[in-house]
Amino acid sequence: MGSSDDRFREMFFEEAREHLISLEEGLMDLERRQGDHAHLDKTFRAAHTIKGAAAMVGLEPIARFTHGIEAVLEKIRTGSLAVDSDIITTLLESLDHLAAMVEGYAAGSPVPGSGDLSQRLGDLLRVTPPGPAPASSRPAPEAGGPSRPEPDSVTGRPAPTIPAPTESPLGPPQPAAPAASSDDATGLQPDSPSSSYQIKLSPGPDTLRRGVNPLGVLDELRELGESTVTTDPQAVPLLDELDPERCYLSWTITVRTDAEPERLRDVFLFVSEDSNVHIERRLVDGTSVPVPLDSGDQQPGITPTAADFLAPSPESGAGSIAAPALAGGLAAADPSTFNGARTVAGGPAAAAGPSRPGTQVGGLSPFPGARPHARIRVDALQLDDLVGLAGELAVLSDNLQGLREISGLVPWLHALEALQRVSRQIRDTTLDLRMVPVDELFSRFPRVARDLADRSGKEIELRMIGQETRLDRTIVERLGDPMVHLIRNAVDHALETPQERLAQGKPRMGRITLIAGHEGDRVAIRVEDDGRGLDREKIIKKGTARGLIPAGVSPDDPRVVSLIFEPGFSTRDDVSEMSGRGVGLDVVRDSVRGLRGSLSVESTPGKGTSFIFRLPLTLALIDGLLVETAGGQFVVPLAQVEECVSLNGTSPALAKERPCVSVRGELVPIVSLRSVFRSNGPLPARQELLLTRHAGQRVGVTVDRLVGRVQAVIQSLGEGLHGLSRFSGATILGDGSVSLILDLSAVVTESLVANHSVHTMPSGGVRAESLR
Amino acid sequence: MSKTIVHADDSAAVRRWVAEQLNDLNLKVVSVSDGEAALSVLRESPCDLLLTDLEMPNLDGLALVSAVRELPAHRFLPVLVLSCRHPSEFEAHRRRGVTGWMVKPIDAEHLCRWVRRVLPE
Repeated sequence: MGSSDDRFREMFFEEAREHLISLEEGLMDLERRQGDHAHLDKTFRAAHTIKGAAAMVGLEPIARFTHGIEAVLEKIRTGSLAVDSDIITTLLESLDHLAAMVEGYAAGSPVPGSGDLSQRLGDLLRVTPPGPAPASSRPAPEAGGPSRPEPDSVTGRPAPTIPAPTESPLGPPQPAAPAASSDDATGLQPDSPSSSYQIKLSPGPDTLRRGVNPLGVLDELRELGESTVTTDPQAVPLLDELDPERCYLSWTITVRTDAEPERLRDVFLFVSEDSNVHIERRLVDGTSVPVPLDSGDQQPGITPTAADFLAPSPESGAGSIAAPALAGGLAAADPSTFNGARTVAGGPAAAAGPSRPGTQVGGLSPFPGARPHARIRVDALQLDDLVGLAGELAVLSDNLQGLREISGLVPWLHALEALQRVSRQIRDTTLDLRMVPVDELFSRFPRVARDLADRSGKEIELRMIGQETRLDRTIVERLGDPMVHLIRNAVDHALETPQERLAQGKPRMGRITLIAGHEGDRVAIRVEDDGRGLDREKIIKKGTARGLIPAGVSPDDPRVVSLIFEPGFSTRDDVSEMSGRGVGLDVVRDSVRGLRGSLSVESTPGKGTSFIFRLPLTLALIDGLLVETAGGQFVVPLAQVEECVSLNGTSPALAKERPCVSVRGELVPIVSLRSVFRSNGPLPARQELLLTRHAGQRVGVTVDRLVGRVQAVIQSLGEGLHGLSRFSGATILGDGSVSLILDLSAVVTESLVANHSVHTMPSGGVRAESLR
Repeated sequence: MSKTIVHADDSAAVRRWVAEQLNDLNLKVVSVSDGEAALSVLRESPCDLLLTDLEMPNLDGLALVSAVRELPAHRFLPVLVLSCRHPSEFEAHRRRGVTGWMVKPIDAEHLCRWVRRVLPE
């Protein structure tokens, strides 16, 4: 157990989120490329790192649960478990649960590990056990173990290992206890004032090359108490044959000390790996008792027992975390292999030796999950640019100070020119910081498609093109749900079953393609399927029945396909579990409009359907329409304005108690901006009508005057003005004055709710003029 | 003069934790996130102890250890492994060059004890 310090946990949660993304991608990839395990390294490592770090920051339940995932991945990586989609499903579900655990702990409401999932992961480990002995039959490790065959001390003994559970204040097993009892068994009484030991130390050939200095051992023994050292130079060869990096000497040391036996063992902590160390305690009667070097033989806590891991209960012992990842199944837990001179965990895995992917130096992918989450990651070069520009700005400001005394115009003009250049660059670079590749959005869809395919019984291939296209961070964050909706629709309504597809001569697998790319100053994201296409006849039938289109319209009329965006419009009578959640395409379209984008559809019967999002590159800048009402100037986002028409004359219409005007025969309810602002000033001779769409219906907003188009940098209004829904921000106009940005849809909603009296009765005479 | 430890681990949380513990021992800790980075630090600068994780991108811990042993300056450098893995999972020849082995999770006291023990006086 490392630390439960919050700082380390915060770091852990952040990196765990990244590793979880990496894990999910890896699993999706694994399913696609079955049989090729080389790429599994990164995926495995993500699980391994989560486990290790969780244990270190004291999140034992997370470490324990992750261990199950890691063990299965390890088994797949070593080729002893063949991947099928059930396994991937189990792993993905476990991943979801792990993510829930991470978020739960991060939010301060811990989520326990899932016993069911641990069980299923454990079942996977049991598949085709390479060894004959099932893990559950393994006897409990014997503490003290004098009866246990001593492994060859040169090759067989594991390197010194800290018994994990002793470090863990939460860990239930306390291996220190069996260790102590083994001391008693061998006659080592820690309370005896002073004991005499005889120690034989013959360092192995590689001791020096392992970074161990045997002389340090002698020095330490001398510090323990009164000692004598005899050196045995017998093995030293002639100079010609002498390898200077090899230790040929061996020593016999007698030491009289009152130090604890543990302290004595400590001295040989690093030496015992490959050296021959033999310690005997001289008893009073002259006989000697050997002192085992391992504290308490195999520590029960770190012995790899599959039972530990398989037991889903959180009490199953923290020790299982430190257990080897059950490489290659349960062979490692088989005592017969464990007692052998060579301990190979997971037989086939480790035996593969150098061919194991984990040992390959080249060809590994770079850091897992270089993906932003809560924090924003910024390209260091961009940051350098900004810092440089800020420096330039400071220099310019100094220059301007110096110009105060100068009367000539030319230096001023130069300075202004430079100022303009620098400020534009600063603006552009800063705006660029908001841009992220759409890959951050797309990367979650393979999983979505997989789950949908699983549930619908259809076969789906998801292709993604243009992931590097960059888009405003906010758009990328908010586009997720609308796109999931479209993908869901495609699977549910558009793609045929494999049988239907084969019957029509299409490939068995339905294809969904996501394409991102630039279209002028916008980014277009297409969601395409190669399914059955929109059923125009059915749409026409429903549309005419609801009075949305006149009867007898041609199926090629562009109005037909756009009917699918009408609120509550569905051609399906039986709504499926997945798409039937009461969210229609109108909601998708509205949420895209909220991002100042548009959604359109193209469809060819029998060939497929494409939905196309067209989005602004950035949300920080808008194309706006500057309007004037009652003496104030406001910016209206151009994306909210469908059309501008001029109002003159005096004949108002009333429909459903609301003022309306007729625009090309269509009765449009109107909202007066003057009445929204409760302004009573004199009416201009002529007013303008901005036509916008609200909940699928056209609504007009009257303003006094159109000033023109502007490109506005949106400034947020800040916390204090948060409640003002009718203004989405403010911007500074070219003349330096501040103008509020009007959110037309909020204005319309507000006025429909308030339903206040109307001050002006605008005319019915309409002159249509298109602004764009 | 304070001694220098190079610590390689792909978890930032673990790197930071280890650095804080060892800084308390008045040791200078250079933390890196993969084996290759550790190797390039070791090529360039003196070091008294290498502390490394095993599963890491670019160059795993054991490969790092054998690469370090090829560097003349670090032929006898003490190397401690700090990993979730148990040494018995690896064959002896793959563990060659490792001075000591600690299994995660580990507490600060043990980490410091081992580091102090293995550092040359």
